[in-house]
Amino acid sequence: MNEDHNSELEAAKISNLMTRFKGLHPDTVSFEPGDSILIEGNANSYVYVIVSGRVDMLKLSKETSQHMQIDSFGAGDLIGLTSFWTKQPSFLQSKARTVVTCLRFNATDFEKLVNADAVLREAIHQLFISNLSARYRRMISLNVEVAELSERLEHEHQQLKQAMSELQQTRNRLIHQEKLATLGQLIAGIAHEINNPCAALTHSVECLSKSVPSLLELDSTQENFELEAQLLQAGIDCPYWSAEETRNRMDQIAKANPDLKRSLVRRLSQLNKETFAQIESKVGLKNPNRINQLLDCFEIGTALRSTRIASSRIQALVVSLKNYGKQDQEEWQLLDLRDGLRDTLTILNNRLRQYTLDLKLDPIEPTYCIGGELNQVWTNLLVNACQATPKGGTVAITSHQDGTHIIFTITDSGPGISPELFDKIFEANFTTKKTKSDFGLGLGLAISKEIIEKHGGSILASNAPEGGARFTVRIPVEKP
Amino acid sequence: MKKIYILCVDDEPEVLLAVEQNIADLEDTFPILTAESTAEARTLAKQITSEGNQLGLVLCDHVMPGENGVDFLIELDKEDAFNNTRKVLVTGQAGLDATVKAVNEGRLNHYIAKPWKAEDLVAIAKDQLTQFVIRSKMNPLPYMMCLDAEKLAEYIRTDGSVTDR
Repeated sequence: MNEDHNSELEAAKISNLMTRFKGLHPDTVSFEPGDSILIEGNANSYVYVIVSGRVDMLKLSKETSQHMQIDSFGAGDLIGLTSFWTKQPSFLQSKARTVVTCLRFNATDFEKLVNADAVLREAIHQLFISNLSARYRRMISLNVEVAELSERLEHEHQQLKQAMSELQQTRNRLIHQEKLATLGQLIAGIAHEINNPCAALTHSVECLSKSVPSLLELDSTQENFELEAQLLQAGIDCPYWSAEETRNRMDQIAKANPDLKRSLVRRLSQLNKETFAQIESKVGLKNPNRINQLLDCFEIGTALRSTRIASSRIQALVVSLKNYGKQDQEEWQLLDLRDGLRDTLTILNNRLRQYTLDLKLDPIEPTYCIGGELNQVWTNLLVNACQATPKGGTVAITSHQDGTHIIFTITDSGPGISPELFDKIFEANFTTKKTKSDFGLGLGLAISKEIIEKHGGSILASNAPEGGARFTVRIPVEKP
Repeated sequence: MKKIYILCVDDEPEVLLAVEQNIADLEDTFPILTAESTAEARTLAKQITSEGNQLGLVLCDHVMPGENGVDFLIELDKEDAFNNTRKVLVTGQAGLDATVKAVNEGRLNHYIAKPWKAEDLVAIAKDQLTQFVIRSKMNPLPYMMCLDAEKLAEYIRTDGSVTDR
């Protein structure tokens, strides 16, 4: 600091003065490193002239309760000048940094010193003034330095703020991309789910368009009409036969009627036994024209059955979609958490179909939650479970209530998680999947954890005793 | 004469029914068998060959409980007895990777997207069965009526080996 303006010269001047003024007897005092010379807030009745060593000037910061270094003085500098003259408590604390030797003047000595001969007085005044003006210059340059520093700080602060907001934007963008990636996969799965009943609908319509017009052309007697109506109804009410049942039925019919064409055998195999027996007795199997008419009636019935089943499946899927799609409504509601889970299971049916699903959902109290957000958690956990588990494996889900908390576990039958990764897997961009593009960006678990913590809950990764990874989600019933 | 079978695989009964009804007209020439899982399909395929008959065409769904359709068709293709069998995937959505893999390995002959048009399904089935008859070097005459007569006639002209095997 101001080592430069100390001068051996000043010290020499003072000793010189001392020798010239014989009547003056200042004490020579020394301090060990760390000794206080002046204490902040205390009265001071001496002026010290440093002969050797270095003294730090400290000020107690009210904000941090710590001493900040303000200045440091060396040989030739004066200490206590201001408090001595103004009679006010010392403004700073002065502490010896090294071994310090000072000349100490009390009031009487000082009086004598000042009132000594003109030459001496002039010299002492100059000494004081140069000392004070050095301090003043120092003060000004310090002020300038402080102003510059705060400007730099402010600039850095602005840069940090900017970086912070960029980070926040990037994070939001990533979360959004993750949502979109998940959504894209979900949509592909749902398309498949809808395509199946759609294929059945398309086929039913084709079948109806072909058979209904020819049915209307029939000029039926009352008795024939009754049989036709009966077959139509039988078709509507008929259950689906398994492939094996169909094969057995076909073998049976073919054996009894070896000259029937196989295509006719297949159509006959779809009839239930009573209807088949009725046709056999009333019409006989040797009348292909009439049999075809009756089978057309039956197949109109089965087409209506397929239409009913397919459309109710699409309807159920749309209801689940609607519930699931409340994802963007950030609304706290009192919900049975199992409903959202079931909707998610419906939406993911396409993926889950290749696994055995083991559901044990005990009754739980309605819970305060943002349903749509939790659906995202279930989606992430279930998709992870599917990806970790070989096809044909098991995904087990349980729910139960433990006092004030609802607890869900999702356990797969995959290879499990290395224990050292239990915490790491919740970090953003952590993934064990070989191809990252398969589903999302590796943010799934990080986002899930954030959502659950927003609900005042927790999520824990572990391994099930029987092997496979287990995720345990705890959510408080009350709003956090 | 050896019979050529068609095997339809889908876990959803109404979809399976739609497939078998669509190709019903082929049944008097090519008996149809249906299965609700790949395991059932595999048993039936073995049964067909053990009875001295041939499996000409498999129409298989992709997403099913247990083993999926692509894996089943790939495995089937590795067996000598089913090497010539025409393999068609009928699905609303296959994992793109799985389909690309199957096509690249040349183990999948066709891909039909759900929902399909009945006439398309029939046309594809006929075309694939025509291919089967030609590749298996069978006597094409019994199938001229039912399959692609033009291609079969072309085959007879170029191959020139119409026998009554």
